[in-house]
Amino acid sequence: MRQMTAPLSRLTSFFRELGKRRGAMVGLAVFLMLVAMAVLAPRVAPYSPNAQSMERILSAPNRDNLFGTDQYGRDIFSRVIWGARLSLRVGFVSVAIAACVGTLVGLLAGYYGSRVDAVIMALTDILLAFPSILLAMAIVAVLGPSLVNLMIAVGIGAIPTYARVVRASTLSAKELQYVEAARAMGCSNARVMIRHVLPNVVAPVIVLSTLGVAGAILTASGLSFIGLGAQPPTPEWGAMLAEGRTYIQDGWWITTFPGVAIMLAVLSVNMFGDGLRDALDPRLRTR
Amino acid sequence: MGNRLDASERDFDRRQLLKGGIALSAGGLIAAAAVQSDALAAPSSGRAAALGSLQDEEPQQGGELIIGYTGDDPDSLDPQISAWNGTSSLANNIFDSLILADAETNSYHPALAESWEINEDATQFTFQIRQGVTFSDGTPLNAEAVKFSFDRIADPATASKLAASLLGPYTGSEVLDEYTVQANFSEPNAALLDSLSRANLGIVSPSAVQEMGPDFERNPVGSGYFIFEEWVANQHIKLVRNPDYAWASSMFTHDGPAHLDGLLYQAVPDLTAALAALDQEEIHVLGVADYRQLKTLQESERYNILTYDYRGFPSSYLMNTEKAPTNDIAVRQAILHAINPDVVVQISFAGVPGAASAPLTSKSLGFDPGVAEMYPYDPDKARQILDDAGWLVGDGGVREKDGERLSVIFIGSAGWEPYAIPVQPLLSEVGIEMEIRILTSAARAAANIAGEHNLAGLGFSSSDPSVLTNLFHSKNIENGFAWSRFNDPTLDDLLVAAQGEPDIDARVELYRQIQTIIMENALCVPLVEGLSATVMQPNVQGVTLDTRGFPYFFDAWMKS
Repeated sequence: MRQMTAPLSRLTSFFRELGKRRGAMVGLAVFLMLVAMAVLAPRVAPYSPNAQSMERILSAPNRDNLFGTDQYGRDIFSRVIWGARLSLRVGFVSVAIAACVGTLVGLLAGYYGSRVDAVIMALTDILLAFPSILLAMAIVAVLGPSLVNLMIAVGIGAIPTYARVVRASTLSAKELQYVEAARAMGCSNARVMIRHVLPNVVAPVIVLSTLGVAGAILTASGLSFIGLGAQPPTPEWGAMLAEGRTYIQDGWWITTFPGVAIMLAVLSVNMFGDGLRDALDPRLRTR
Repeated sequence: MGNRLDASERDFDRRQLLKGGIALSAGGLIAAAAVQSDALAAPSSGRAAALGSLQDEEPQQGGELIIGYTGDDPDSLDPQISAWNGTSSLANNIFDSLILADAETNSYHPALAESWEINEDATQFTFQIRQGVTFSDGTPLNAEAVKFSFDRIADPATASKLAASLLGPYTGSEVLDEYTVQANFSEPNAALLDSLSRANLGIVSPSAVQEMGPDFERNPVGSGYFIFEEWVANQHIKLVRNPDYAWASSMFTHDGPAHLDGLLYQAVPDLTAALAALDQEEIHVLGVADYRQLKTLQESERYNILTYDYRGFPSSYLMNTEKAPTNDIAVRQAILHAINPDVVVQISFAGVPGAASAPLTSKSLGFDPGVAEMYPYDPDKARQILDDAGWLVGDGGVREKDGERLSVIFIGSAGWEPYAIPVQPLLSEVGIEMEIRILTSAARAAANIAGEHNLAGLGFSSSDPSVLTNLFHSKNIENGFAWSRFNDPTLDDLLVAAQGEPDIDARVELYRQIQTIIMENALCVPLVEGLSATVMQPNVQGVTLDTRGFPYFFDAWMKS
């Protein structure tokens, strides 16, 4: 009975904590809106994102084209909506790559220690020495520019951070008495790691992932902007910025709206992530 | 966008490609007074605009003409070494060439060479050098000096990045007498006259080269109407009038020294800053290669604008004849009928440059209207051709044959987006799917040489039609630009014959046949002819452009 209620009450208190933070809730709301936009893109977008129209080249925002059109007569509003799909997908997939691999690697390093730890941490230190965007650029340069490679590159670039965090948590978690008890009972290493250590290190990974989504969206947009990501005519926000930048004097709307979209996505995820972190950190609990 | 294209594609030099796949010619270099690109051939409005309403007025003497340039400084001011457009442009005014080419009439004029003779197979050129010409260091310009320049260009130790390839298969020169020199070549080299008219084959002072050694690159000495004075890195390059100049080519309107006191090439950070400087009248002359900006400038009606249409191979797609589905000639012909170059010009380039229709632009020597009419825009015909060839409409409107989707891959480098994005819907209209891949210059060159594309974006300006050899001779498939990978002995033979044909009319006929074969086999989709512009304050008069669109400031003057 007790075992059942304890986690439940912890969860409710967590949500209560989170609910108290207005910034986090606003972030969450904006973010959910973006997600809805992404999911419903085919229904919400008034035009196909790649439909060109010679009659509507560079028109300012108007009733037909809410955000105006670009140099090829494409509807910016539709492109921004479809772009949400891409950006969010890049954000989630690359973070998933980073979190999964990083957690695994960090667990192994922290749990086994000694030589395994030394080797893994040396490798992550090498990776950490490079700014993640530089690492991602190098990876894309090798693999060739495409959305899939972009996700892989951004994901790999973020692995070291997760590995470090998980390793640190694992180091403390594995000294806990119940882990020792599990070992004493003859649990295999794999079982100890997954059943007993992992649940204890997952909280920081969740927070890190949330914040990481924002970073990944930004990195991906940046790489697309310099031509290392989405290929034309994909309506990726960063790529849209790049395509529109030469027209900034004739059509401010081409770059403004994708820029605002990037900002909203990153800001909302960050605000939510901050709230999440605070809510999960007992030291910061409001009384 | 124009800028990048011009820098990375137009001046694509084969040697550089081979050396490491780096598209040559130096990004924004000194785009000097004109053009970050090699342009050509004024539409008749060009020169008229320059002379304008003041053409009857007596030129005024004096004044320093300030020419804005964006981007990096040149790597070298030695035109025999550098491949930078800025160097070529500047060198026009410091060095004299043996002959000059009139950009409007495609004719050649005597300059340092009073006359020349070409043997039957165009392997031997004999030049009669003008007497009484001196370099600005006081030494005489004679047959020895000409031989010195040619030998120096061909010498591998010089590491010439462009001039050596312009000079061609040079085997050496013989000085027949003080003022007669004979240049010999191992293969026919009918394009030499055109090359000679370019500043890169200008004659340098042998004594200055010998004295200065490597410093010559920063202190060029020639016999031109302006003399190099100073180069302050990333600030300016200054030339002053050569007071002793008395050997002007008959192509110019006056003889004696230049009208202007000097030229100041002023560095400006970027195009935006350069346009502001032009607006504030801080600079007199600016080369503009961005079509939209150019249109704005034209519409302002504030400036004298010289526009020059590119010559050579227009910005086009080369269609890979080896990779499916473009290995099927029906697909290639359908693509030609499905693409409307006017749409590209209108959508991407504000209608400023001309739409292309043949493997040579309409201002090029050898352009043939008959060839240009072979593939009119006709989507219905494209559909018909595909239907007949068994490519039938399948899922999502994309055609299929034997389970293969009719999907083509376009590969280009940054700057090619505007040539590809508007084409995508045109092809999808007839059931062809087009995937666009924009790669870095090096990656794209590697991919194109490996034949990974169906369509490869390439433009190649050249004032001589022999550029078609670079693009269509089968010897250039594995390590050059023959990215349609078409191997046909008849075409190869014709290309070689045309390169060695000294008679202009016979040459033109050969190039007509060559272009007919190219288009019958649907090897390329010509898209945009391209142009560049020299924008000048209204008081600047008398500027003319060479066959590459670089200005000559000899007849130039400023109305006070």
